[in-house]
Amino acid sequence: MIDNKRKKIVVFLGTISLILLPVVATILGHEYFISLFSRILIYSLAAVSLDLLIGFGGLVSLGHAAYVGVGGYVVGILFFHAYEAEPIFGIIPGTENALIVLPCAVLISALFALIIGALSLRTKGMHFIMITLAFAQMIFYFTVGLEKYGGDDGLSIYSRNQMAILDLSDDFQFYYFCLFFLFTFVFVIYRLVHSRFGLVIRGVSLNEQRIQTLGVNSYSYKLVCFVIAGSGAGLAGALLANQAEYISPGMMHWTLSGELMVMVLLGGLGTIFGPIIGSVIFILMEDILGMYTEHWMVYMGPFLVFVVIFAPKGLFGLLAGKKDNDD
Amino acid sequence: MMIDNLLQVQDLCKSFGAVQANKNFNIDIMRGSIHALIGPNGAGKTTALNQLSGELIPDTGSITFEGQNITRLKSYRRSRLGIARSFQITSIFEKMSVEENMALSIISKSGHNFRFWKNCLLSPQVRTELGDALESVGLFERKDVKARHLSHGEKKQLEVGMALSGKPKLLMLDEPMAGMGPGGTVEMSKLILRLKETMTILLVEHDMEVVFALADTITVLVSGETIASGKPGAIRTNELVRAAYLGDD
Repeated sequence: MIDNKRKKIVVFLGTISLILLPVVATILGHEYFISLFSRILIYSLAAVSLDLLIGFGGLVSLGHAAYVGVGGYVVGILFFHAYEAEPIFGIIPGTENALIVLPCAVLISALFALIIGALSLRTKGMHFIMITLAFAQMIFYFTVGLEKYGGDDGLSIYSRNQMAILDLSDDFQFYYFCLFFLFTFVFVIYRLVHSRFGLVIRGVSLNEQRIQTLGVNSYSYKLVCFVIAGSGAGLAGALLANQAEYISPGMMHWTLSGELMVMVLLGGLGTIFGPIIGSVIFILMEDILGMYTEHWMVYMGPFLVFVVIFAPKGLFGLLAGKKDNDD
Repeated sequence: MMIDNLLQVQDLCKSFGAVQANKNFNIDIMRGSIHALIGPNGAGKTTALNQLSGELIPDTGSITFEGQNITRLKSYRRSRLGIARSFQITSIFEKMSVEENMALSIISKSGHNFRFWKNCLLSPQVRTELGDALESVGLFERKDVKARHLSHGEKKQLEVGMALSGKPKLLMLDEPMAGMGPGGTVEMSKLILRLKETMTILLVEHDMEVVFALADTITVLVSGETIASGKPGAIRTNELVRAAYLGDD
């Protein structure tokens, strides 16, 4: 399904490495990497969803962390009420069942994306960037005010969600749980951008005036794209809350939106697979450089500048070859 | 006599701040004709066209298409009614292949496109229509090329081809000959005459030779206002037109 041979090899090797990673880490006795890479997979998921929005829809959102946060808070709040055995508003019982919690997280973040998108997409360009940022900050401050759920201290989740066959509290199993979602999501997005919807959404981002005179109501396509991206981020948020066993308003701070954007640019805008590489590099640099200095961004910054200038399709573009049909 | 009126525009006015781009712009386009819209630079031809296609909404006046008032209708809805256009500055999807450009124009015309799974280029509708659509503008051989690598003339051909998909009733061409060599002009003239058999054409064009050769009716726009409208012969001898336009060409 992927036309370019070099690209095929890169994707294949990447897939194999991600599948084998926990096994190798266990053999070598570096179990720490399993939980680190679980986090990387989760950020990858969020970054891929942002790539759909920016790279294909041309919608530069600086508030993508909002949906990550919403997904996380759904997990946290449902856990809190299950733990306290106190129904939400006295009606809805809390739960720790992953099969209920994760769909709820996705649906509720999709709903947030629908409302925010419906309003934001009436604007374009710089205004769109600022309004998505504004909405994200609104939700951020709202959660800071949620004293019941820890306010700005956040909320500890004492146990991960539960599932019948999997033990999610086991890092090894949790890693594959995340990997499953990442692979599924990437496959869905890959199909999506080559579908009729995908062609229209790419057309909208390239030349909106033209596509309207061809008979397309661009607004509704952009909105659906926004909601799909928001759902992906919501799923990532739900997984992140489980991984960290902790939620806080920090999950939806605008700096996270910025970091996701860096991952997308680093890995390759509009490449689907690239943001995964981006998030691997970003988080590894944070983790490794962070051991030596808390100002690790000093190194990250110039690196990003180099990548953006010399590799317009990011690190994935460098690896997979800059074939003409990729841009 | 007015029965076969496809598009009727009455007293259209449009201002941008203090600049009045169109004032009392009137045009009646007969079904099955080639209607040319001419006028000196800055006469408001493109602004008028943008209001007909719905990218601009007029301040006052009315536009009627097949008896339906479309003055405030959004551009994508007008496109669905059968109004298609090409742009003065070629407007295609430069980063997509020729094939994708054409596929996009085909699927745009057909209901909704909230289909998320199947590959677009393999969908039955695209497969049945794409080849013919590319063939009709002579770009079948070039289908895998990125649109931005096409020559200027080929881009124009592609754009016209995209406007044609979905078989519009009214095709509005904004300076289709602009920047073309003599060969391209002849080709494009032939194409326009062939299209006339199946649709009505509104042609905005600078090249007077082309206009007088092709048009059934000519409307002359000066300073945003319709100053004359009629058969090419009548326009050629019209004093107002000569003074305002043809004289200083």
